[in-house]
Amino acid sequence: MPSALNRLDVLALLALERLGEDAYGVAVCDDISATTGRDVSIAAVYVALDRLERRGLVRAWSSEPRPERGGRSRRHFAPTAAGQAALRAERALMTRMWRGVTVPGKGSPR
Amino acid sequence: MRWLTPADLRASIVDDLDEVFARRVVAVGARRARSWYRRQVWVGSWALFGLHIDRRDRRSGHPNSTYAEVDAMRRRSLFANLWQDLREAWRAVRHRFTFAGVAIVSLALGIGATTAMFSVVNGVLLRPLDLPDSGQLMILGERIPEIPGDARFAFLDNPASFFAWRQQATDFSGLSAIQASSFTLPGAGRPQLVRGARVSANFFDVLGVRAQLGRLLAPPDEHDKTQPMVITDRFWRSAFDADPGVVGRRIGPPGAEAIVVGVLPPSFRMHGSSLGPLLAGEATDYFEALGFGPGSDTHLTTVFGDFNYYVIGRLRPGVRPAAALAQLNGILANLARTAPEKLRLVAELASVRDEAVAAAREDLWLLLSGVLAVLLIVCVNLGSLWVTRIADRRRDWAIRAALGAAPSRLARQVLGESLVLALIGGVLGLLCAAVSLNALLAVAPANVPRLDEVRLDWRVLGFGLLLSLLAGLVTGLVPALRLNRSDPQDYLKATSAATTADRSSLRSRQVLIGLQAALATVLLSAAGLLGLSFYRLVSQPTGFSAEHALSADVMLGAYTPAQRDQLLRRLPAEVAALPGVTEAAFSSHLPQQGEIWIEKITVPGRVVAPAEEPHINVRFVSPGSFAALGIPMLAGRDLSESDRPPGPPPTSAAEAAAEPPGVLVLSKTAARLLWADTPPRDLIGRALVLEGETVHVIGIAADARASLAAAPPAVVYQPYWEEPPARISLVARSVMSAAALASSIRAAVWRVAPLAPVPTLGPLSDLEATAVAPQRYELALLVLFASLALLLAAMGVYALVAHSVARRRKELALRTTLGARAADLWRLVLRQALAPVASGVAVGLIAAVVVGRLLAAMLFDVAPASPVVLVPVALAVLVAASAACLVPTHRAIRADPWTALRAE
Repeated sequence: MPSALNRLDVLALLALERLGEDAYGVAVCDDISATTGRDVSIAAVYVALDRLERRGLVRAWSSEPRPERGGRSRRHFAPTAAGQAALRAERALMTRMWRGVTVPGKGSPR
Repeated sequence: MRWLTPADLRASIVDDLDEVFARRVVAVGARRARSWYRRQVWVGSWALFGLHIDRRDRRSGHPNSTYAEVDAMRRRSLFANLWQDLREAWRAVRHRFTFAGVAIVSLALGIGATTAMFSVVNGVLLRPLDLPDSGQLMILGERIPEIPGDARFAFLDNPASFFAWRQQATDFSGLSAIQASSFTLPGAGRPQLVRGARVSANFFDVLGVRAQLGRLLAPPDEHDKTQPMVITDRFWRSAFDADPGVVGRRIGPPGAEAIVVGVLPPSFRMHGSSLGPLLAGEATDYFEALGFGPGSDTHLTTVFGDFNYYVIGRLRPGVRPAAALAQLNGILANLARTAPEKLRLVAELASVRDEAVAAAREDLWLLLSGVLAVLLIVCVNLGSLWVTRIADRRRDWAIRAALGAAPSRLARQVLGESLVLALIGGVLGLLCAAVSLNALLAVAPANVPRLDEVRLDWRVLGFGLLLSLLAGLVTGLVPALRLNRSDPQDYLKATSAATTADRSSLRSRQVLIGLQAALATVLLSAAGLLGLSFYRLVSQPTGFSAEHALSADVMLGAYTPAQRDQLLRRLPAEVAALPGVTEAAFSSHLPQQGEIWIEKITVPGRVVAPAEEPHINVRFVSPGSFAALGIPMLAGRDLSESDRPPGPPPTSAAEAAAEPPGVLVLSKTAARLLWADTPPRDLIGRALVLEGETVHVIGIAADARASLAAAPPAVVYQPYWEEPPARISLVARSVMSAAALASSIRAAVWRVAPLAPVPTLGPLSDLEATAVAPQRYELALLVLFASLALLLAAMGVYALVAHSVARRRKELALRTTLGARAADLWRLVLRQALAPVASGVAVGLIAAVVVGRLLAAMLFDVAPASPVVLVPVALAVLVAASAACLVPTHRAIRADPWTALRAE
């Protein structure tokens, strides 16, 4: 049974899905920041992606250096089939855990 | 961070950081961007560190494993989750071992202190003497019932009685007489005093001691002119350097040397320790034969004569002391009938060991009781903690009960756990005992008998073990009983805070608190009573002034009386001439040195029944001794050299009779004893008969105490030339310290008397200090125990209050919202906490009165139920308990009621 992904892993995978082809380092970090509304550690994201790669959920490659001033070789990431399967499993798990639970919001009688 | 980044990621991470940084600078400004960068670096470094560990792990694993296996490996790898694991472990340990730790440490301290105290009791009171069959060794005494106060000197015996007993007392296999003795070793300008004893030849047979070298005393030695001497091992090492050829060597003052015939084994010690009152506190270095002459001296046959010898004897096996005492009494009765005086003689018999330690007995048992009370409080505290623990974890217990554990099994588990803790505490406590024993002995006063025989032997270790078991039982008893009787259902109903289980747990704890308060009260009262008694004892006027004065003992045994007269004449002037010394004088014995040299005195013309003959203490003093000691004269004048009869001292009885009568000074009590109604002034010139001589009173001096606890004795001060004493105490008044003057005083003495050892020299105030040293020591220990008891009881109250207000948070909050004021809440909590304390104090006070009655013999001028002590003690306990309540109650009442109500 696949072991649990931690939060950053999940966010990173989701970002990869969302970004598709343009999923390189900075973009992933920006996406995660936008989603969570908080600053994220760039190094931590890279570490998470590295871990995911070693687990076979993500594949990474370096692109050609961009033909512009300051352009450099960038590292791109994309989820593998296993990675997508893991995401699906994660969503199913979340759905199961949240079933039957309503968290009262403001204004509810208690 | 660059360094931390693995090579493959380095470029990406660093470059990305730069890129985003540049963007940020544009967006939010340089400063914000820089702080963002710093944050990134910190957090990033931490993440990268984790990555390193991950990778190192994986390198040792399979490079191509699936992520499941890899994750499993990661989980197994302790290092990867080190921080988290540590935190988990710390939480678990803290939860389980704080309680255990507290229990073990407090038990260790309590058991350690009690064991140390017991080892002292054991070594001093319980252990038999280090001699074969020491239970059979008895000390024999005699007293004259008609003379009041004679019982104090019961164990000083008369030679006539000794001879009678020796001949006729068949219940004893051997009797021996002992008399203290000493001689001076001239030693190269520093004369040294050697102390020993003259004993009957069968002394060592009676004791059952064998020689280490040579032989011990034998009957022929009693008449041997060469003065055979047996020396102790200690003296052999110090004076003869453990010379194996010591037998046959001579030692002693020139011209009167003794010959060494044997050395005693090292285990034989005869000073304050082994044979107690016999040679009170002085080390004994040698033994010579006590040669009672062939019966020619009248003082040996006078029945009511020279009571100056100790007699010890060994009971025959199978003879009971009561029977032996009866036999001794019969012999004395016959003896008394032969005497002209119409007085009786009654025998006394005591075991040597008991008599040696008699003075210390009560005090030691008192101290042991004190420390046991402290241990009991510790156990009660722990028991109370247990009850809390059970109450807090009642769900745990309930689940266990529901899973089939019978309540009795749980109770046994609790008991078992508390026993284990107690045993561990006990082992640690024995280590504590070893350490504290050394400390206790180091500061103990020197006049506690047998202190050097105190050690941790098997009996002490056994006691410690037994104590640990008992402590464990006591600690676990209450919680175990509660568990045993409780219904597991109670524990499962855990929603409301006021369950019956809670209430009864509270009640148990209240009872325990009450018990602690009672014990603390008793201990404090005992300490208070003894403290007040001590204070009253030492604040009595001594009658002389000990400030800025020194005393030195000077031994003149090496000189003849005529020689002593000469040098005593010169001595005070020689010492007074020293720089820094304002006055110098001497007396045969100083105040505070006890009663000694007791003689009969008669008023001429007065007929008095023998039983009512006045007895007084005689002192031989130099002129100016009253001024030197600070004793005021009440009437008349001091002695002076002009009172000395002119011409050479008398050499015959006829000449002595022809001399003008001597003079003396009376103390106030002596004057009142002899002429009760006459004012002192009118007594000047009156005549008295002392030892067959007529003397005239020339002055009355104020009283000076011989000991703190007794009234001042009747003292008669005669000039030293009447009978130059073999031992004097020199008194010098000076503002300089004893240390500064010691060598110059000794030098001055040796200029006048080169053969006179000066064994002791110190401030005059030392006399009193030595006399009360044991009481001060005991009081200090008792105060320590009492303070500990109070502290522990206060801690118990603190824990109780903290726990109960924590439980009642919701209730208190509710009351606040319903309008209760802070004062009402305070009253509510305090009442619950202090009610048990108050009842505990009440019970404790009653117990304290009982204890006070038991201690009555040790109290000086203090009633056992003295309110001066009991009232402050009760207040102290209540105040301490209240203080302990303050912090937790304050915190609870200040808390926001809404948060309390919501957090459920």
